[in-house]
Amino acid sequence: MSALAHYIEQRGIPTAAIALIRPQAERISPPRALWVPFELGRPLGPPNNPSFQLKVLKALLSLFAQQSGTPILDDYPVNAPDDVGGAHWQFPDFPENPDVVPGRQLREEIEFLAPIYRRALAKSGRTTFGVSGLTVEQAIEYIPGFLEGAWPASPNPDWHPVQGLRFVADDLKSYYLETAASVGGIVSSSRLADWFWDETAAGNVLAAVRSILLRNEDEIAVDLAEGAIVPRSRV
Amino acid sequence: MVRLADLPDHLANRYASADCPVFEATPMVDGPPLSDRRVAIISSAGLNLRNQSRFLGGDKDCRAIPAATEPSDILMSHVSLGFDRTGFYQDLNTVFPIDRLRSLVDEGFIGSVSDTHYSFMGGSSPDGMEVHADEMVRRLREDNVSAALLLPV
Repeated sequence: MSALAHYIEQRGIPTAAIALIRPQAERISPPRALWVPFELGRPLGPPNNPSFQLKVLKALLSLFAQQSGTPILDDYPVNAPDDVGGAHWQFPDFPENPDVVPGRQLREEIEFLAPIYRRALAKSGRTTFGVSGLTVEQAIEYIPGFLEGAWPASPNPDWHPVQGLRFVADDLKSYYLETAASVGGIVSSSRLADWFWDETAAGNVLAAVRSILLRNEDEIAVDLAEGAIVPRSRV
Repeated sequence: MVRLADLPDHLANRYASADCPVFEATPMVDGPPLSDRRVAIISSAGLNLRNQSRFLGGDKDCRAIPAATEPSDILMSHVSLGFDRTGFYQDLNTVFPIDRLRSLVDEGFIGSVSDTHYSFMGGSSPDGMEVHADEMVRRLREDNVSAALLLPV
C-alpha cells in the first residue's frame, strides 16, 4: 500500500496510509503513514469497536493536517484492547454420533451450525459467505472428489478446480467462523482459528485435502495447496 | 492471526524483509482543511462485490466498491491466508470503515465520503499496479476526492 500511496499522490490525490509492517513503510517512505500495533488483517483494531476504530481513523486523517514537506511516519501509541473473556470462549460441542460415517461428519456439522448461522445472519444482516458462488450444501459436495482423486468440475469455468476449492474453503471458514463468533461473547482471532482447525471436521478435511494435493503433479494445484487453503502457520 | 511482533521469527522476518520498491522522492500534495475533505477508502483486502470477478493470485487490478453497497454484498477473495479474516467476518468496518467515515462526516471531522471506493489485492509486488492506479485516480478525481485512505491487511 505504501507504493500505491506514491502512485496516487504522484497523480495529485493526497494519501494517508495505515502501516501494519513498519520496516516496509520505512523503506518505501509513503507521503503520510501511521504505524499501528495491531494484528495483520485488522488495520483499525478489533471488530465491533466503533469508538476504538474512530480514534485510529482520526489519527490517520490528522496526518493530512500536519504541515510537512517531508514524509510522515507516525506511531499509533495505543494497543488494541485485550480480548476480554476470550480465554474462556467456548463453542457448543458438536453432537457426538459414533455411528456416523466419517465423510458425513462435515454434513452433520453444517446441520448443527445452520440454525445458529441463520440467527446470526438475521441479527447482523450480513454474511461474507458466497465467494465460491455455491450454496453451503453444494460446497460440501465439492470437496470429496479431491480426497478421492476425482476432481469435480470447477464452479466457474474461469477457475482451475483447485481455485474453486480455495473459494469453497473460504466459504466454509466464513460460514463456521461467522457462526462461532456470534456465540459466547468476545473471542480472539487466535481462539477462533484454533477452534476451526483443531476442533471441526471442516478444518480436518481441508487439511487432509491439502496433504493430498501437495503430492499432485498439477503445479497450480500444488501452488494453491501450499498456502491458499490452510494457513502456513497451521502446518 | 497475531501482530507482526508476535509472529515466529521466520514469518516476521519474511514480512519485514519483503522486497519493496524504492522511490527517489516522495510527493506531497496539499489539500483543503480536513473538515472540507472528501475521503475515499483504498483497501488491499481483496474485496469484491458479489457480482464482480474474484481476485486470483497475481491480480494487480482493483474493484470499485460503491459507497451505497449493502454490506452483505462485499466479499473477500484475497488469496493470502497470512492475515486474520475473522475481524472482517464480524464487522465490515474492520477493513472497510464506511460507517465510521459517515460518523466522521456527521461530527464535522471530514467533509464528505466518496461515492466510490476501491480495493486491490495486496501481498505481492506492486509492479504492474500503476496502470490500474491511473484509472482509479481518474475516477477519484471525477469524484472530487481530496483524501485517499490506504488500508492494508
